Amino acid sequence: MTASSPFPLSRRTLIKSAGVAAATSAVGLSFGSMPASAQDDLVICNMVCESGASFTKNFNPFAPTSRWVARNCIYEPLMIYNYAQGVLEPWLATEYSWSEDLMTLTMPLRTDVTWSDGETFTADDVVFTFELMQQYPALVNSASGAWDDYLASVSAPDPNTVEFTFSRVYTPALYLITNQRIVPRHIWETIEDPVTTTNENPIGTGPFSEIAVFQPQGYEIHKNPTYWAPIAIDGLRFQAYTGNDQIAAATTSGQIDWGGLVANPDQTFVAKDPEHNNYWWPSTSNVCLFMNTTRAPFDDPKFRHAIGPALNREQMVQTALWGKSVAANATGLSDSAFAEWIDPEVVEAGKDWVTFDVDYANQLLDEAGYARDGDWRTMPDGSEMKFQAIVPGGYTDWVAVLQIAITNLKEVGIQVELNTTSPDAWSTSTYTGDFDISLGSGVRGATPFDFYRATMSETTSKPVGEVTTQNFHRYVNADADQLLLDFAGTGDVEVQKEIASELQGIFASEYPIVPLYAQPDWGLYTTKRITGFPNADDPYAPLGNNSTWPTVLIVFRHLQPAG
Amino acid sequence: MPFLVRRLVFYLVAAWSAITINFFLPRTMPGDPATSLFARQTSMLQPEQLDSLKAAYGLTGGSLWDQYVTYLQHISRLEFGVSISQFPVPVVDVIRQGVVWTLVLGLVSLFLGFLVGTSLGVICAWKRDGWLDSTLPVLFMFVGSFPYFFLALLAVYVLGVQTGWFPQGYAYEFGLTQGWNMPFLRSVAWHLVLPATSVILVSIGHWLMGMRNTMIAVLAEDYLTMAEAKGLTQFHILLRYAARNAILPSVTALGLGIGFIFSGQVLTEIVFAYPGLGYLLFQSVTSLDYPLMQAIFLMIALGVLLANFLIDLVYVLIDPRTLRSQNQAH
Repeated sequence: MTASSPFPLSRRTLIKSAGVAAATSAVGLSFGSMPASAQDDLVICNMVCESGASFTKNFNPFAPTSRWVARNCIYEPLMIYNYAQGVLEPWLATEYSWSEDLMTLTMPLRTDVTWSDGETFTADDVVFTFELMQQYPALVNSASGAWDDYLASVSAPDPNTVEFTFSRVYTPALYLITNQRIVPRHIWETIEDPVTTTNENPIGTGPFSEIAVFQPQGYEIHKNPTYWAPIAIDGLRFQAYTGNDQIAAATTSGQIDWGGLVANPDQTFVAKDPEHNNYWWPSTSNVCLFMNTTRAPFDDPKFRHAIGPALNREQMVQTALWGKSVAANATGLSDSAFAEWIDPEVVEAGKDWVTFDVDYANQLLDEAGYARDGDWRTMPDGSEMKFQAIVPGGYTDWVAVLQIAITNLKEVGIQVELNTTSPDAWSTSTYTGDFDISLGSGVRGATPFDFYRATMSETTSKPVGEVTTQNFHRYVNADADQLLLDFAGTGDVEVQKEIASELQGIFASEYPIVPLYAQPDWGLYTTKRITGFPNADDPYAPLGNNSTWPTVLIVFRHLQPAG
Repeated sequence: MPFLVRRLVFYLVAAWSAITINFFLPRTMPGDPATSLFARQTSMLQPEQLDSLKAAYGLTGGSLWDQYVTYLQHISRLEFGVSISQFPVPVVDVIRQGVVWTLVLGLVSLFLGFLVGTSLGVICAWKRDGWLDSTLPVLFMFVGSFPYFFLALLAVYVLGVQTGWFPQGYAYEFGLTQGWNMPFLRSVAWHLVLPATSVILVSIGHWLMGMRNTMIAVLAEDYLTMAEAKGLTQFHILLRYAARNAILPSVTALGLGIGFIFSGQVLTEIVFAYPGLGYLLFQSVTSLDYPLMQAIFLMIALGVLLANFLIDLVYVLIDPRTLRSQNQAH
């Protein structure tokens, strides 16, 4: 039921490093020696996945504050949505099947999986995990909220099969249920409070489970001795970087084997060692301009329509992303991520909305009754029109994009003031609906369902003053809601595609948010010590390491020591 | 002892004000911690779950007044709760990580600054108007009046980033075993050089001038002429008669300095990314971690109050006139 953004943490964490990477590499920084490993002969992959100057021991996969490895290395899901390939890869479960009436989901499980303490993994552990989520609503993981929404029961007809029974037909739940990380019953049933436990000695099914070194400054996790698939590297190391400049410095000086974002990577990173260094930024969703539709004139679709052609998307891509992205189409869906879902007719019909054309924008605004009085336009009743655009000051790319948007809007007589805030103040303002204009990434799910649910559905909207993280522009369309219900009520992909076309049509004629450009899924690597990372030539899995789905688990199997 | 009672009442009122401000100040900041936590988990959380999450994190406390009363009760039992940004780790554990490094950095730079500064002060006063006396005080007063953050940033940029001679952050190198072993201690010392030197540089002027001026006053005293008349060596007079008497105000300042370690180093730790309390405070403010923020602010405030109170006590013991003069006022 949740729609999902691929970068819950990474945007916040990594984008801030962009400006600094250029600066630090320009002064020829060296960042001391390589950190020592627990044992020197091991092949350890150095990763940057989370921010923070000091780490505390927390491997609770249900806690929003736990270490990255809890959800991406130690505990595994039933299946992994590989968004680079667009397929649901079998993991602890080998396949899934829906009953005829779409009310039961059955999954056979692997039989060769053991927990890292040697106990056998069975369907009972899966049942236990979901029941734990039911008992403690404050546990945060993929199936959070499932019981209140669509799940009726979970059972194990035999030790290697698990069966989910639904309270209503809701096929998008497949991606939520399969993504739930599974914990062992024999450990967690003895834990007094699963919400507040820090789970310091984790027992999981994942490829890495042994905490070899743990200090506030960093930690190292080694291979699970009983893992059910071959893994060629010995462990992973995470250092607590005190700031984004340190992350950028460590990355550009070659200490990070697998990282996220550095500014202008062709010059700051690849040029340093073209033979080994590489990055891959496939797009997954679009950065969009959000306008608060509870306020005038943003409640007027004609006004929202006119904003589209006023914006210079090419310049935004050049300025904020070093030219490494493309302008968005009118469906709001990313071209590369949803190629088989996008309706070319809608794209064609909506072209006027997403193509830079100042005269056309002026014409639309004049027709809609926002007359120009000197430099600035006024509301139809003649009152002053002036807005504030908010963005976190640290998101340098977004600040640059909004500055361009403000200049563009000035051209067509709309007065906007830029207001940079702290990330916390920004999220509070946008999520509670206390803003005029804001920026955000479109929600990225396995199907377009999540994006349209987040932009046009009543289920994701809240009254101003209450928190919603998805439909914070607060646009609701009854037709779209019906289509979304139909979409969730069928398991036939062809039918879903037809419904998705209609949703695209509504989106491109109601203009709930204004798509700007494709948001890359940051990822970079160096092959000096470790090879086998996915890239544009071999896109077997995403390179990004902070997605909703633990796609890193797929990558770990492909990694090999270099040479 | 009406004087001490009055001082005690004063400190209690001051402590209560600090505790109260400590509660209300963070809550006037924009944003709230549950929403920012929520923001990081948008892919997994349903809006309906926010309430369960708030309850689990102890962020539902009824009215502000109720929260305040609960807060006072917890403080009186020295319970600081769990950190929000590093939930569910207790605040006490998070602080324990930082307090060691703050003490290491604080004590090392305080004592070294005191030692070097006062020694130079003694020399300057003894060789009054010599070449040292005409250069050192001016030099260190100049360095000391420099904006500190500028000096610190300059040090990080030149000695850390550009030349790479010194580490740019942390208290020791990752991977070393913590404890009393040589590689670890060497690494700790190495990481201390930049932050400690920056603090010492700006504090030397203060110690130097304080010591020099008192020394000069002491040197004019009759008992020094007497000592000289007795035929004592110059060195003996310098240390046993002059410096020993002149150092008293500096020792008082040193004691006060210890109380200010927690508060005085916030900037140093942020600039040098040194993982002490100041750096934790910075992090807790940016992540709206109320419980952590409150506990650190409280430590800082109480540290200053305690230091002041101890100085009051010491004054009473050293100089009985303090008591009398205060009483005569009534």
